[in-house]
Amino acid sequence: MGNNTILLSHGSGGKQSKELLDLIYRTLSHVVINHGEDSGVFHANEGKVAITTDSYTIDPIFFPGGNIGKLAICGTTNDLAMVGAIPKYITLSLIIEEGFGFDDLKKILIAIRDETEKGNISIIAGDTKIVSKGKVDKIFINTAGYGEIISKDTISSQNAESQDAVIITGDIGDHGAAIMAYRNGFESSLKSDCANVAPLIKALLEHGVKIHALRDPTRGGLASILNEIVASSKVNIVLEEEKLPIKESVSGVCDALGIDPLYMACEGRAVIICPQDQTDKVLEILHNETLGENAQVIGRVAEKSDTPKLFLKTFIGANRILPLLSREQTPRIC
Amino acid sequence: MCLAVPYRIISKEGNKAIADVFGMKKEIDIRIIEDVEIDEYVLVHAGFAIQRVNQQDAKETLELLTELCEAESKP
Amino acid sequence: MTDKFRNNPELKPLLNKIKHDVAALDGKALPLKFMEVCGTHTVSILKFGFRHYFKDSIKFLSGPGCPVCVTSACDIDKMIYLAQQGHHIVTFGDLIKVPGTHSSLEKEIAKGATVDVVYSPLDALNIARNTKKEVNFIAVGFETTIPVIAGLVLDTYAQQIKNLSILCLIKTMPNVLRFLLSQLKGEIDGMIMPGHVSVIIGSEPYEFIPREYGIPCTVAGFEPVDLGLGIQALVSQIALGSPAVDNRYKRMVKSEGNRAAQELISAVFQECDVAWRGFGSIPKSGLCLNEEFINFDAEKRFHIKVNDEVVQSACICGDIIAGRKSPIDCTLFRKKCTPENPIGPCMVSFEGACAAFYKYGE
Repeated sequence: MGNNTILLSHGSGGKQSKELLDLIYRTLSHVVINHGEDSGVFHANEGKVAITTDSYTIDPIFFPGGNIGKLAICGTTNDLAMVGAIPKYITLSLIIEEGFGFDDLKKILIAIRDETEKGNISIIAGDTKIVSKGKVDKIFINTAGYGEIISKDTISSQNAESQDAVIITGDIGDHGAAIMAYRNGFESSLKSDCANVAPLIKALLEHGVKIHALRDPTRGGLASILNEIVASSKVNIVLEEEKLPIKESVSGVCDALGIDPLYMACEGRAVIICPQDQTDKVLEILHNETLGENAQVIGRVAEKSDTPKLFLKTFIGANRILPLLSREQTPRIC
Repeated sequence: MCLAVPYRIISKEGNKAIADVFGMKKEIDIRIIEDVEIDEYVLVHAGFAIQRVNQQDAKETLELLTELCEAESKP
Repeated sequence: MTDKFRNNPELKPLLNKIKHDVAALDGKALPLKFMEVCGTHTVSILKFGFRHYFKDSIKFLSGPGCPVCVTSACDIDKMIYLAQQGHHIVTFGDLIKVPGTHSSLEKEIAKGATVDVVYSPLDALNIARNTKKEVNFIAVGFETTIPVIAGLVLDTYAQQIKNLSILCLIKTMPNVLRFLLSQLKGEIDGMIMPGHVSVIIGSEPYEFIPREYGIPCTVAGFEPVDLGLGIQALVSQIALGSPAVDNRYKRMVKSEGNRAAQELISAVFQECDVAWRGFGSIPKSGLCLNEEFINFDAEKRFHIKVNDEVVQSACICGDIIAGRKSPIDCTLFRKKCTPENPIGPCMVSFEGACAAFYKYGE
C-alpha cells in the first residue's frame, strides 16, 4: 500500500489531509467534542479550576506498558490531580515527522482514546502538524488539561509540615527502569507504571482525607520532587531505605547499569504528604485500589530548616543526603 | 571503577549465553569463563562475564560476619 | 544472595565494633585515612552512608580509580577530533561531559556530531554494521573493562568489520599504585583495593604494598557487608601491627585472578607508558594494541592531530586524584566549577571526588 506512511502533503489542508483527519476522528470519535469548530466551548463550573500544559517526547515511542499517547494523557491528568483537581477536558496537538507510519499513529490514537474514555475526559480541541524529516523525532504530543478542584484545602509543595507522613502510592522507578532496560537490550517483564492516578486522588479527597502536598515523581524521580518539596516548604524530609518499595527487577537493572532508582521517573505514582493521623485512612483507601495496592509510608517530614535537605536513612542506619541531580542518568561502567 | 553484578546462566551457545538478572534476560559473553554451567552465577561487567561466583565462598564470608558479630556480643 | 550482603541485621553490630576498635587503637592519629582506589567504592561508601557513619574514626580518600577522571585533556581532544571528522563515536556515558582544551563531546553533539552511549563495548559491533560511517569506540577503563575491549577487537577482526576502530586510552592499576605510594609516603593507614579489577588480576599484584610500604590492604566488594568486612580487616591489621593483603571478596576474587581473561588481554594488547591526568606519564601503566591488531587503532588509522597546547587553568583535579588536595581546596569548586558546568573531570564523573563533595554537601 502506497499510503501507509504520513507525507508532508497530509498536512497541507487538501484532500490528503482529510485522510489523516478521518483516521484521527474515526479513532477518537467517542471522546472528541466540538468536532469541526475552531475553538472548544464548554460550561465552566463555579469553583476553582486547574489548567496544565505539557509536551511529550520519548524514545522509544512504544515501550513495555504503554506508548507516547497513553503517556501524554496520563501525564496531563496526573498533573491536574496533583493540585486536587478532577480532569475534565484535554487538548491534543500532534506534531508528526514525515514518513511516520499510519499504523503506529493508529496505535497511539487508540491508547489516547482508551485512556481518556477510562478517565471520563473529553478531548475539547486539537491540531495536527506534519513536519519534514528530521525536524522532530517521530512524533511529539502537546496537551493542555483542564480540571475542577474538589479539595477543600489548598494542596501545595509549600505546605509540608513537620511530622507529616510521606506516602508513595506504589513501587518506585518502574517507568524509568523499563525504558532503560529496553534501550540497553535487557529482555524483561518490567513494565512502565504509566497510569492515570486521578481516580486514586479523587477517592482520597472524597473520603475527606487531609492532604498537605502532592506530587507525581516523573522526570528526576522521587528524590528530585522531594527535593523541590523540602525547598518550597523549608523542612527536612527523612526517607527510610528499608521501607522504599522497589521491585527486585528494578533495582537489578539499576545495579547493572549503574543508575539510581530514586532518580528514575515514575509515570503512574503520587507522593502524598499528609498529617500522621491520616496515614491509616490513606493506606486503607489506596490498598483497596489495584493502582494503590503497594502504597507505603516511606518516611516523614522532620524539623523546619533554613537550609532544608532530603535525607535517606540507609540500611546501616546512617543519614545521607539525597541531592538534586542536574543531569539525566546514563549507563556507566563505574 | 567497575560496576558488575551476578547473573544466572539460563542457556549457552559458543561464546554467548542468555543469563537472568533479577528476572530479566540479557545476552552476555562468556568466553573467559571456562566450562560455565547452566544455573551457575557469573559476575557480569558491561555485557561480559568476568568471573564465576563461588557460592561456598559467599557462604563463608557471611559466616565470617556472624563470627565477628558474636565476638562482639560476648564481651 | 545479594540481599544478604546488602541488608543484613548482623552488619550494624560489626560496624559498631569497628568504631570501638578504632577508638582503642594505640598511638594512631584519628581519623584513620583509608584510600579506596575504585570509583565504585567511592560511590558505595557515600551511597550506603559509611562516610557519615565513620566520620570521626575513618576518613575515606578517593584514589585514581575513576577512568574518566584520570583521562587527560589531550586524550579528550582526540575524541573530539574524531567526532569533528564526522565519525560515529561510541562511548560510555560519563565521558560526554568531560571538557578537553576547547570543547567536549556534549558540545560536539549540539553541533551535529553522532555520539552513542552504550552499556557494552560489544554494542559497537552492531552500530558499525548498520552505518557506512567510520565508527570509533572510545576505549577507557581499567582491568575489569579490558577483556571486554579485547573481545570487541577480536570480534571486529573475526567478523571482518572494516569501519570499526578503537581510541585506546586503557590504563592499568599496579604501576599507578606504585607511583602514588611513592608520592604519598606514610600518609595512608590502609587501602581498599578495587574489587572488580582484582577479579581479573587477582590479589597477588598488591603484595608489594604491605611488604614495601607497610600499608594494610584489603580486597573488598561493593555491598555494605563487603565494605564492613573490608574495613574490619584493615582495622584489625592496624591493631595487630601486621600489614597484609586480606581478601574479603573471595566469592569473586581468586589470588591469581582470572587466567583466561589475562590471556585474552595479552593476545590483543601490550604494555605501554601512558599519561594520567595530574600525574603525567607513568611507565607501563597502560595498554596499547599489539602489532597484530594495530590496524584497529583509531589514532594511527586517522593520524589524529591535537595541539599539545596546555590551557592554563586553576583546576586541581590532578592533585585531588593523587590524594594531595581536597575539592574544597580548589578556588573553582562550587563557584566556576559545578556539575552543570564542570571544568575538571572529577566534577563530571558520577564517582569523581568533586562531584561527590558537591552532592553530599561536604
